[in-house]
Amino acid sequence: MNKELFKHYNEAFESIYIHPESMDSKVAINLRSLFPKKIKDFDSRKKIRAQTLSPEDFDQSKKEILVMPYKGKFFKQCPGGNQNSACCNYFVLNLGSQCHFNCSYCYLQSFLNSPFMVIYSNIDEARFELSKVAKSMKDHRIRVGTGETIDSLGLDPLTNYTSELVKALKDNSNIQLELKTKSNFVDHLLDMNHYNQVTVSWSVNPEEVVESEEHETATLDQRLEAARKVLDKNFSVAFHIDPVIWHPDWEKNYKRLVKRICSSFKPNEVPYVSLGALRFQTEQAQIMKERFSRTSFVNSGEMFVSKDKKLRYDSRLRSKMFKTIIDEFKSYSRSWRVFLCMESPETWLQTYGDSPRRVEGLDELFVPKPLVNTETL
Amino acid sequence: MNKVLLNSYLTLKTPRSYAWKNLILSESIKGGLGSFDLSLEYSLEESLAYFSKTLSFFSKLELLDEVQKEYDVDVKKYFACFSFYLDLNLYNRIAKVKLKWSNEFLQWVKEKDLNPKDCRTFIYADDEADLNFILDKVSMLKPSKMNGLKIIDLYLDLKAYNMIDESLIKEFKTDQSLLKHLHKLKFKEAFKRDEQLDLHFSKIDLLKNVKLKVIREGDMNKIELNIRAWGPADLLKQMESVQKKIKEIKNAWSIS
Repeated sequence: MNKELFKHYNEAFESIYIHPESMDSKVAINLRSLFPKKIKDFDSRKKIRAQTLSPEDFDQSKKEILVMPYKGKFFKQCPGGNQNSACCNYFVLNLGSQCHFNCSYCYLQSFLNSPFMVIYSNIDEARFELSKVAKSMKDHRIRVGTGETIDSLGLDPLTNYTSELVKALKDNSNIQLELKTKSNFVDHLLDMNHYNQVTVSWSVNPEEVVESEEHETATLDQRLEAARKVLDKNFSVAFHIDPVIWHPDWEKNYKRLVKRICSSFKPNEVPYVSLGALRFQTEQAQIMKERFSRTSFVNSGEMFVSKDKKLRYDSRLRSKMFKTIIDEFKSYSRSWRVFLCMESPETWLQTYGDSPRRVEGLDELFVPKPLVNTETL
Repeated sequence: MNKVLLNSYLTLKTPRSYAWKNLILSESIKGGLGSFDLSLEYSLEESLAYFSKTLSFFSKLELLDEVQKEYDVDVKKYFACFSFYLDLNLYNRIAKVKLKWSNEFLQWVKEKDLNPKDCRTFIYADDEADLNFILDKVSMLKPSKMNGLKIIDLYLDLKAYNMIDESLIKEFKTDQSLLKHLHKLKFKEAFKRDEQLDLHFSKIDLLKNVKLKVIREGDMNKIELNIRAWGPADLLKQMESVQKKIKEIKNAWSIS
C-alpha cells in the first residue's frame, strides 16, 4: 500500500474490532499488521440497540471497523426489481456494510443500525456462493455487483476482496462482476487477471454536486482518470449518473458532465450509462436535514411520496432531467446506451416513449431472468 | 424531594402506592401494586420506571428533572426499564432545547405525546428566533401531532431559503389553512405546473357536462375526466366529443 493510501485510511479510522471467529482471516491479519495501534479488544466495542442511529452515532460508525463473519446468504437479487420499477436483472453480493465516504443522500443513513463499518471476513463463502449461482444459471449471463451496502473499492486495497472474487470468474464465464465506486482506488487492480468479466463502474455527478454532496469521495476528474486507467487494462467501464440531483443550475451542470464523459470516452468503451433520480425513504429526509443542513442540494428539491413509498421528484421533472441528459449523450453519438435505474414504467414511457424491453440497445438488459432461490445456495 | 409534585405525576393515570427504600413517594395507597414486590430491593430507576410507566415521554422527563435535583438517576437505565432504547445524544439535545420552550408549547408536546423521534423535526434547528416563532404559532393553533410536525418542518425548510413572510404566517387562524399555504410555497414548481395544465384544459372547448381536471397523486399529476350523461346514447356522444379533442389534450399535457 502506498503512503498516500495508508494516510487516507489512517485518518479515516479510529478503531478496529475483530470478532474471535475472524481472527485468522486474511483481512484481519492485514489490518492488524497495518494498524496495530487501532486494534481494540472485541469485548470493549460499543453496543447500540437502536432502530436508527443518531447523526452523531452514524458519523462515528464510519470510523470504527468491525471484522466479523457474515451468517446469512451473500447473494441477493437487487432490491430495485419490484413491481413498481423496471428490473435490469442485477444481483448483489454484499461483502460488508457502511462506507467511509459520506454522501448526503446515502440510503444507508436510514438502513443501517450498526455502530460499525462491518467487513465480512468469510470471503471464501461469498466466492463459493457466486460460483454456485453461476453454475445454476449457466445459460444466462448475470451481472453481479458488490457495491450495494458498501463501496466496492473503498476498502478494497485493505481487503483485497476483488482479487478473491475474480477467482470465481475463471470457470464461470457467464458472470459479469461489477465493482461500483466513488473512489479512485484502482491501482491494485491493474495487474489482475479479470478474464474480461469485470466491469468497474463509477457513480458520477457534476463537480458542483460532488463537492456539495459527496463528501470524502474522489473528485470527478480523479474518477474519470481512474476509469481510463482500468479501461487501458481491458476492464469494462460503466457510469451511473445516479442520483441525478435537482439544483438551480442542474441543466447546465449535467450537460457539462455529459460533455466531460463524452470527451474522455467513446461509446464503444462504455457498455452502458445508467440514470437514476434522487430517491430515499421518507424517514431519511429528517436525517439528511440534520446531517447536511436544510439548504444542501438534496434537501432543496420538491420531493413527493411515490408509489413505492419513497420520496422522489415530480415524475415530469424526472423525465425532463433524464431526457436532457439522454439527448445530450445522443448529441455526441447515437451509440451511447443510457438506461434508467429503479424507475417506474410511467417514467420510462415519458422519457423514452416505450418500455425498456423495446428500446434498442437496452432490450437485452431487461429480459427477465429466472429468480434465484438463495435458500438453496 | 417534592412529594406533592411526584404524587401528582405518579397518580396521573394509575393511582398506586409509591415508595423507594425509605422514601415515601406517595402517602396514599390506592389500587394494587401489581407485580411490584416492595419486599425486594429495587433501584431508584426501577422504582421510578414502575411508578411512571403510564406517563408520556415528556412527563417522564419532567419527573426525572425533579428527582435529579436530589438524586443521581441513570437516565439510560431508567428508560431501559421500558424496553425503550434511549439515544443519549438525542436525549441530551432534547433536555437542552426544551428549557427554551414556552409552557404552551411544552403543553402541546405533552398533550400530543411526542416521542424523541418526532422531536428530530425541530431540535436541530439552527436559528432559535425562527424556531420560537413557529413553535409559538403551533402552540396557538393547537394542531394535531401530524399537522403540527408538518407545519414546523415546512416552515423551517422555507425559512432556510428565505421563502417565507412571517407577517403573513401570523394571519392564519387554523392549522389546515397554514399547512396548505406552506405546502404551496414548498412545492411551488409542481403546483405551478399543475395550475398551468389546469388552465390549458379549461381552454379546451368541451361539452358542458365534460370536465377535465388535473389531480396530483404523490409524485405524479394525472388527468381526471368527469362525464355526466343522461343515458348511454348521451355518454357515447360525450365520449366522442372528448375523442375529438384528444390532440388538444395531448398538446396541453406536453406544453406544461
